[in-house]
Amino acid sequence: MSEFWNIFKKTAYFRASWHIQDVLIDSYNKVRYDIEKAEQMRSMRENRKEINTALNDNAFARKRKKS
Amino acid sequence: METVAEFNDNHGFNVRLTNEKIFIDAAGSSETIALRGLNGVGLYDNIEKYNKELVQYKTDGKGAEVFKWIFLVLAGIILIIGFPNSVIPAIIVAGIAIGIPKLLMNKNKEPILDSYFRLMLSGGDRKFKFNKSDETSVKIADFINKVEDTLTAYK
Repeated sequence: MSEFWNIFKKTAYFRASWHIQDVLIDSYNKVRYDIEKAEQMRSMRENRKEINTALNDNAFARKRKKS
Repeated sequence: METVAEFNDNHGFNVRLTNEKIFIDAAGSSETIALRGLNGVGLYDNIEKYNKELVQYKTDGKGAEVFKWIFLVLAGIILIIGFPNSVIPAIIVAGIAIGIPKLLMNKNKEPILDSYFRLMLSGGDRKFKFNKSDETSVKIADFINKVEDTLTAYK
């Protein structure tokens, strides 16, 4: 019977450690993703003039707006 | 069939609109799309990629500028310390200061915004990449306008 509880304990430790690792890896990935997104938004705000020019200041946009 | 609109990207890709069909010819492929199977057209600009390239371009530009000023200051110091014998070495260093960043920036081309127009068809869609600042973009705009004219609410 004690062998059963030994296996039970080991499996419980394994599952708990697996779960904790998952939580840590997930939070790291989430933080990294959030930082990348924030950095992207910041650089987009910084480059908004160039982006607007590339989007709207061209013959294509003028021709489309006329229609 | 009379051609209503047409554009060519000058690299072998040709799209032609007639009253009933769209003919797409590219190197190694040819497609014909019936206008009755066309549900709509869409435009998409890959701003994220453009912004990423723009950031990289600006970073490279700043690096080249810093390099230039460091070497120009160095040339100035060489000139002052060893004048009049150091004129030629100072000119060489100044030449490096101006030449190398210019060379690097010539290789580093300004980013181009990738745009796509999409033909939404029954059972899928077809995406075409184009450059809005290109000279052929006017014809593409005209083509899209004409395709839009063929879209109706009811058949």
